[in-house]
Order: sequence, then structure tokens, then C-alpha cells
Amino acid sequence: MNDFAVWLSTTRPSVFLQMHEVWMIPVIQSLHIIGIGVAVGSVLMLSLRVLGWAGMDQTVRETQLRFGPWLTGALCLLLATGGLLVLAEPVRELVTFSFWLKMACVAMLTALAVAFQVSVGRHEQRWEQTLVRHRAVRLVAVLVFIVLGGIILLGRLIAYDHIWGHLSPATRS
Amino acid sequence: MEISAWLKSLEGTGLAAGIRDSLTIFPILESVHVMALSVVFGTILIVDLRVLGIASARRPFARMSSELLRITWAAFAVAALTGASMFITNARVYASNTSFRVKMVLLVVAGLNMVLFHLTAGRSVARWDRAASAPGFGKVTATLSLALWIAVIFAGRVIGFTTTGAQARQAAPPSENFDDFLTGGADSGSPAARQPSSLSVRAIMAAMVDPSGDFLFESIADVADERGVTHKAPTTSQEWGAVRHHLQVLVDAQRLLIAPGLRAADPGDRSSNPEVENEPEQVQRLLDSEHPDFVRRAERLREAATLGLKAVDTHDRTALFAAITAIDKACESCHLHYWYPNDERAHQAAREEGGIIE
Repeated sequence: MNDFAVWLSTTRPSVFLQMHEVWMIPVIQSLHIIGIGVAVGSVLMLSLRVLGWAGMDQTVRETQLRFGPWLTGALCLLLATGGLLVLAEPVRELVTFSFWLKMACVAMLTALAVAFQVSVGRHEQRWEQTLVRHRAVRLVAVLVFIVLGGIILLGRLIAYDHIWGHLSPATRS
Repeated sequence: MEISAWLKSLEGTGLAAGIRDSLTIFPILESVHVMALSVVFGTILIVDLRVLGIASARRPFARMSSELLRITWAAFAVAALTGASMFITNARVYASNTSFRVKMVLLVVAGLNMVLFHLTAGRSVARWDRAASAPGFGKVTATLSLALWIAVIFAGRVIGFTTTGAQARQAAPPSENFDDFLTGGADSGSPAARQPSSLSVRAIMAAMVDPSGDFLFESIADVADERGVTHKAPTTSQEWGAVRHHLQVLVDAQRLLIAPGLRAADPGDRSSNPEVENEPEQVQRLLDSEHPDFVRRAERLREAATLGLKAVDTHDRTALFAAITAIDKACESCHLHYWYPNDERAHQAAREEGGIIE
């Protein structure tokens, strides 16, 4: 991975980003945080609705129709800006434990978001009547939020990978 | 109390010192800050889009906003607390940072904008609660609100890119010797020139260790040229004096190098030979995670240079040669570990020359 990261850092798009990194990186990171805001807001509304703690004037389906597309859009923005950040600083990102753990969590949450949206579309009635009372579904609604917090934490920890001690490839060399 | 004295006293509190001394608390505070601000921004975005009639246009505004704004305020409290905790660790640096000041002004303006909304469209909410969007002035404040919060996020992120140099300067105030070395003595150079732009391992190497090391390696050697092999070594008192000066520079450089928090390089510095060299951020990670090891290696440089100073006192060329060889090995051993660990040829050469490899 180190070799790949070093190679990536010598490619033209990466060099371009590095040349302009003084303003590009804060701008891309800010867009990334805005994406996080949209994603967190959407997931919060969906989870609270499933749990019955907010937005009860809307059905689960209505809530999903309102926030689902925003969540998908936010994920796209996050992938695009995240990809640019990796391209701008391949070694800083790819040679860390935090980054890969974060990617695993992102993959998990994305799969869950897709499954949820498809399921609400297909089984509208079951969601309104039974699924929202299902203990496992309610547990997932809470866990999703914890994983999302974990993703944010891991994203920030990329800059502080030494916290992981020997799990971090950066401390082995 | 004067503001800067107050800021300094904030930095001196036990809480600030505790956060500074820990390797984990600051990143965790930052992460919780990002979590909280994403909730603040996410919920405000939902409310503003409702006011603008762009999303949730059919939901009654009053119920929705009262539900959401409770969450917004709770998250804002967490963001403010974590923000304040980070601020006190380096209060004077943040307070003088332009991005930080801009962010604080933007937060105040966003607050005033919110008050303005409540005094205008907020008062007539009963009339447009179920309408697709708020009346004109409400839309203006909602647009302003979105623009302001996005600007707050930008300004906040820029703080992290503009304080690093200042922090390094604070962590390791330049010694008089370093000032003199850069400016050629106290009586030359403008005050501005005397202040190095920023202090980093790379800057100290370039300004002090490299030139003095090169001078020392050249000062004593077996030279093979057209006149055959000659032994080069200091002879006059002037030459011995020059050697002493450069050895002293190395001793002083070691004191600067081991300062806690010293950055590997300036932000934006890149390796000119990334195939074998570590990039500054890799060096930084090693420095952060193995600082005691780095201190030990730097100590080796100081010991070798001190041996050299003793040799100069007795004009002992053999001892001086041994000391300069030890300086060379100290430099190389540290470079092999932090700077170019992937350089196989350098490792091979060090093994052949009996260098210190660890």
C-alpha cells in the first residue's frame, strides 16, 4: 500500500492537487464536512422517525422520500471530496489504520442505507405498522448513529494515527 | 485584566495543560466538535430549506422547527464546549488567528440573523405555517443563515491550516544563538529578518546542522589529488576556532531539535525524492509516535559534538577525527530511521562503514 500511495502521489492529478494544496485541501475538507452535515441530518431524521421520537407528522415512507435522496446525494459528495483528499495526500490517508477502518464502516453504513431505502419502498405498510416496533430495527436505528459518529471520529484520527500504536502502519517502518 | 494576560492564564489552567499533554484528548475533542457541528448544520439546513420552500414544504413549520431546534441547541452546546476546550490549549495563538476571529464574527452574525428571523417571519408564523414557504424577509434570513453556517465551517477548517507554524514557534522559542546564526549577529538584519518564518526540523537542519556538518566533514580528511595523498586538518588557531564554532552550532541545534511539538517541516513541504525518502507527514508521524527515540538519537549528536569540542581544546587531531566520524554516524543513523528508511543503498553503505543501524 505504501508503494501504491507513493506512486499515486506522483500521478498528474495528484501533483496538481499538491501544487494547489494551500487552498484546495481546506476547501475540499470543508465541502466534505458540509456533506457530513447533510448526511448526519438525514440519518438523524430517519432514525428518530423510525424510533418514533421526532417527525411523527410524517409516515416512514414520507420521511424516507424527503431525506433518502439527500442522504444519497451527501454520500456522493462525500465520496467525491473524499476521493480528492486521498488523491491530494495519498500517503497521509492510505498508510493509516484509521482510514481503512473508516472505509469498512462507510461500506457497512452505505449498504445499510441502500437496504433501508429499498425496503421502505417495497414494504411500505410493514414499516409503518410492525417494523418500527421491532426491537432489532430500533436497535439498528440507534447503532447507525453510533457508527456514523465512529466514522467522523476515524476521519479525524487519520491525522493522528499514532493513537493506534502498532496497529498503525505509520509507526512500523 | 489585560486580554493577552487572561488568554495566557487560560493556557496555564490544569485543564488546558491536561489536554495539551495528552496525545488522545485533542483529536477526540476535534472529532466530537465535528460530530456536534454536523448535527447543528444538518438540522439548520432542514429548517432553512423548509423556510425557503425547497424541501419538506408540506410540513407545518412551527412543529417541525420546535422539534429540530432543540436538537440544534443541544448540539451547539456540545460544539461550544469542545471548541472552548480546544481554544484554551493555545488561547493566544487562536485569538490572534485571522480565521478564528472570522469564525467568531460569523457565529455572532448567524446568531443575530436568527434573532432577526424570529422578530420578522417568526412572529407571523401562524399565517404561513402550512404555506409552502415563508414570506420574503424570512427567505432572505434563511438564505443568509445557510451562507453564514457554510462560511463558519470553512473558516473553522482553515484555522487548522494556519496555526501550525505559530504553535511550533511557541513550543520552541528560537534561542539567541539561532537568531545570530540566521542573521549573522545581533547587529545585522532588520527585526523582521531576525524572526524565522517558522521553526521545523527541516529548517533547523538547513540553517544549522547541514552547513556546520559539511564544514566539519571537510575540515579533517585525507585528500587524494594530483599532489598525492595529503592529510587535511586544522592547524592555525583561526582554523581551530572555526571548527569550534561549528561544533557549538551542532550542540545548540540539538537543543532546538528536541523541543516538544517541533514540526518535521513547514506545511506544504514535499520530499524531492519520494521514492526513497519519507514525506514530511510520515516523518511527522514517526516524530509524534517515537519522540523519546528521536531525543535519544539527537543526544548522540550532542555527545559526539561535545567530544569534538574537547578535542579542539587540546588540539588533538585524532580525537577530532573520531568525534567527527561519530557525528557522521549519529546523523546517518537518525536519517536512516526517520528520513529515508526505504533507501537500501544507504543502509548498505552504513553497514559497510560500521554505522549505527537500529
